[in-house]
Amino acid sequence: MKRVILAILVLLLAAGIGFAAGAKEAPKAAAKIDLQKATWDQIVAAAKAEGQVTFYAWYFPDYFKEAGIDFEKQYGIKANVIVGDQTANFNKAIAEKDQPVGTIDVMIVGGQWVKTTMDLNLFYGPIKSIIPEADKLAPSLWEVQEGFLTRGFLAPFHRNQTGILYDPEQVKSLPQTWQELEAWIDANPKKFGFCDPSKGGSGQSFVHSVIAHTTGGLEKYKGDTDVVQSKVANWNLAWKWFQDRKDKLTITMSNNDSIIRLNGGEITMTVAWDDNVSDQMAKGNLFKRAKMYIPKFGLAGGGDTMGVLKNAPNKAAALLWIRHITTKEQQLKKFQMVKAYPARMDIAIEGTLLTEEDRKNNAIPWFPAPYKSYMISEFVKNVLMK
Amino acid sequence: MKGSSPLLDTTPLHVREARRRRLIYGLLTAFFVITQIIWVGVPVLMAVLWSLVDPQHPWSFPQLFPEKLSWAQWAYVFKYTNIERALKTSYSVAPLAVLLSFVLSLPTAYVLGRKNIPGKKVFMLVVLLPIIMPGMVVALFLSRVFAAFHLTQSFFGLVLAHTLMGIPYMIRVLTTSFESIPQDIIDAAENLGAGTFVKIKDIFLPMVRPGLLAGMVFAFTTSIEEFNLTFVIGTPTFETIPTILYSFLGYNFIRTNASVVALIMMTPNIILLFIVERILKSDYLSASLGKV
Amino acid sequence: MDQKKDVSMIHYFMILPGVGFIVLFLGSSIFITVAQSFGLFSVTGTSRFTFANWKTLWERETIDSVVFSLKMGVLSSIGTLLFAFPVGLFLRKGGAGKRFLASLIKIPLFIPALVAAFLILNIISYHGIVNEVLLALRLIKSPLRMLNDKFGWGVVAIQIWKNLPFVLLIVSASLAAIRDDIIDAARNLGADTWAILFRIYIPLAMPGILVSMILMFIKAFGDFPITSVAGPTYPPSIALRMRNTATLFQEWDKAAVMGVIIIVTTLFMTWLYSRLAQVVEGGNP
Repeated sequence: MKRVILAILVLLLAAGIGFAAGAKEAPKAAAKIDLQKATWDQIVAAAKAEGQVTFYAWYFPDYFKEAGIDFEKQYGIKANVIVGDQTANFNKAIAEKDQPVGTIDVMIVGGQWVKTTMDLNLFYGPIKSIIPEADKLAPSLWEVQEGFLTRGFLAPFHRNQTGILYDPEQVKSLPQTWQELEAWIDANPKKFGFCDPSKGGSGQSFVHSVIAHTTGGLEKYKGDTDVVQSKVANWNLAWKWFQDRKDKLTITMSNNDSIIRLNGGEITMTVAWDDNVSDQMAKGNLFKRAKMYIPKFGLAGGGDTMGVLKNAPNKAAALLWIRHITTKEQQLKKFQMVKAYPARMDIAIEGTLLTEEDRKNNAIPWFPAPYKSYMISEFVKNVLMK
Repeated sequence: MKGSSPLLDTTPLHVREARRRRLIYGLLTAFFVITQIIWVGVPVLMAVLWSLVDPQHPWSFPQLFPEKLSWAQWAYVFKYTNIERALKTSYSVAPLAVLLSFVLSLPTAYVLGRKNIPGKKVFMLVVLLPIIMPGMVVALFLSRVFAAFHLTQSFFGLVLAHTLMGIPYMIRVLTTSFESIPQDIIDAAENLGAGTFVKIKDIFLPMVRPGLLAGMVFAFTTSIEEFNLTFVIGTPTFETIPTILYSFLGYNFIRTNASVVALIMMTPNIILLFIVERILKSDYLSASLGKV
Repeated sequence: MDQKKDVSMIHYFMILPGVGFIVLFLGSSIFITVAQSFGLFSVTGTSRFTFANWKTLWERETIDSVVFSLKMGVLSSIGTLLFAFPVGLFLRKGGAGKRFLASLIKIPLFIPALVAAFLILNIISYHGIVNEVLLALRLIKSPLRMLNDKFGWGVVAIQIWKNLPFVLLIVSASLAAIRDDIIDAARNLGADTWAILFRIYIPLAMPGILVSMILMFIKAFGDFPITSVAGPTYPPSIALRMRNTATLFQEWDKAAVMGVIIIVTTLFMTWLYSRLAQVVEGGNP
């Protein structure tokens, strides 16, 4: 009796395993046209034949919904815009990666997920040579994103930059150098906050700058594809900087938590992404008087890109969608709707939180991605754990 | 009350005691109600206020209330998200998931609750597995199983997924209810010649009703709140309320819009709750008074 | 309770729908997680059998996370019970306004965990309503920093707030099954309130108490959203650490080890709770 039931359960277990493990067939035949060799017009025609495109984002539902409507009007191709959550989007893409045909055509790629997804080979490419006017889009972002070499696989559509966000009513003189910042932190304990680097890029940017300041600049890491132990030997100086100020710094739980706490009056100065700040202000979550700047000691920036999934059912339509978002009209519209910095270099825009001057002079590039991951785990070990 | 002196008070002792007890209970109830109104009401009130913040007049410290109220955040959610479609999906999957978990759980709970089947302890643990598994494992691996069974992007797949997540609660709670049925009632019924069908209808089902209703409530809320698996196997064909909620409540946290979606989610549930409460209460009374 | 009834073939088939359904869908996920912890079936595509990933079991960060999650699980399960049981006793008898009270209490049940976390965080923030009221009543001189406290009380508070109705519902179902004539008989025999509580209510409601504590523990131990938002900056819950290990540091196999740790620890604690319940039940005639 017992054996019968056990046998049945084992059979069920085996069936479950068998089904799950055995789903790996060879990928379907290549797209009807060779996207790398076709002309743009052929791609547009193929896209129309495909008839629909599914796009995953995790922010700007208002802009992307409008963009979808515009896309449908212009090309007659249905646009499924899903605004989900960053982690959920990537979990789904990763879960589907071994299927011959997935359900996502094109998605936004950003943050630490650039390395994760590129390492797992999720994207079709390179697409830089296919997208029209690719050279007008932030050239550096085509090659390197978040310190990772993306080699033209991911199309920039959006640039953002971290800066210091502050309450002008509470902060009268703006620290530009490290000494000034250190003095400010000493004079205003607990009023400077930054986010836990394992939880948001704004925190990563701040820790990144502290490392630059305490360990002799970022030049020496350039070009490394792996962490060189000798170069990080003196990072204990960076951790000491944090430990010395442990009681005077406030660590927040996410990019948006920093902004929320500023809005709530708990802190008066923090590091934040300019697009986050614009969005929160526009929706009534942050007082309008807030201002941002990039101090002379430099803070990193970057942007987000879009990638076409390797197993996308509608690759041509996906490429057309990317083109659509990166046209002058759409980039301008995006800026007007949500105040997000376009990736196109040939648009004149006004009314941004960070001045063009600051961006030109004080924005700094990230060091290579392996150092970033290392930085995060070391920060946890040496600052949060102690 | 006539006669102020206790010596002259002629009302019988037990009546006075009953009155006093009722007064204490009444005061306690009032106290609890007020505490609950604050305990539950204040956080919810905050959400209501945040959902009504006018985008041009942000709510910041030191304002105690938002400067200006407007429906803009609500308009935004209805205009730019597919909330109506999500509501329809969520509220059509949930009842089916509850029904399916009931059907699948009832026989199992009966055996686990009243029979000494070998391996019972193992089964009791196995039954908990869906909720023990970390969300990441669920999203990455369980979704592949659904894909292998061709259950992705399908309504039936969603119902199955939600049922899977709700079954642990249903089985464990129902098992407990079955355990507490006194054997003598069943023996008495059998002695009186009751067949299986009568036993189920007149003894088992009524006696496990409080636990059954609890299980159904949990299966329902689990379905309404299920996100990880739903996002992977349901979108883009199906959106549910959590998939929209998390776009404002996850990495990109926007408190104003998140409050709107949360309230949209809460309201039908709370109405449902009051209805269920009416049914539950009458059962407590009958069960506790020993009536079946 | 006399359960020595004959167990026949039909009973095995009766558990098949419930248990079978679960095994069918979850069997492979668990198998693959365990396999990945030993380096096989790797997400990244390069698989080889190895014990190397298991050394994370000794890493201080893993131990800290597991201990923290255990703390959250145990405290949340005890805490919700402490609040819910008296309320359950109180609501056992009908009465004026009690139905309304019962409905009110149950509202958090329909509020998702993450929403509950943000609602509570909102009111305990630096200039949130709790601080403002305490300041106005002059009970404190400057606002308290209650967010992300090092111990994790914020998380426990949110778990209790959200899950009180959950435990209450189960415990009430158990209490409802206790017949009044038993209580009356005990009173007639001269038992005082404490005796009735400890020798009748608690033992007879023990199945419900046990189930609710187990389910509550599982929820709180494996929690990810509430801890990521309201928990201390260090350590993260084990579920959060598992996710970061995979997606932030791309150590997928190491993350699988943590998955196994989560499953095994939860099953162990569930067994522990059951044994404790048996002891309590057994100690009462």
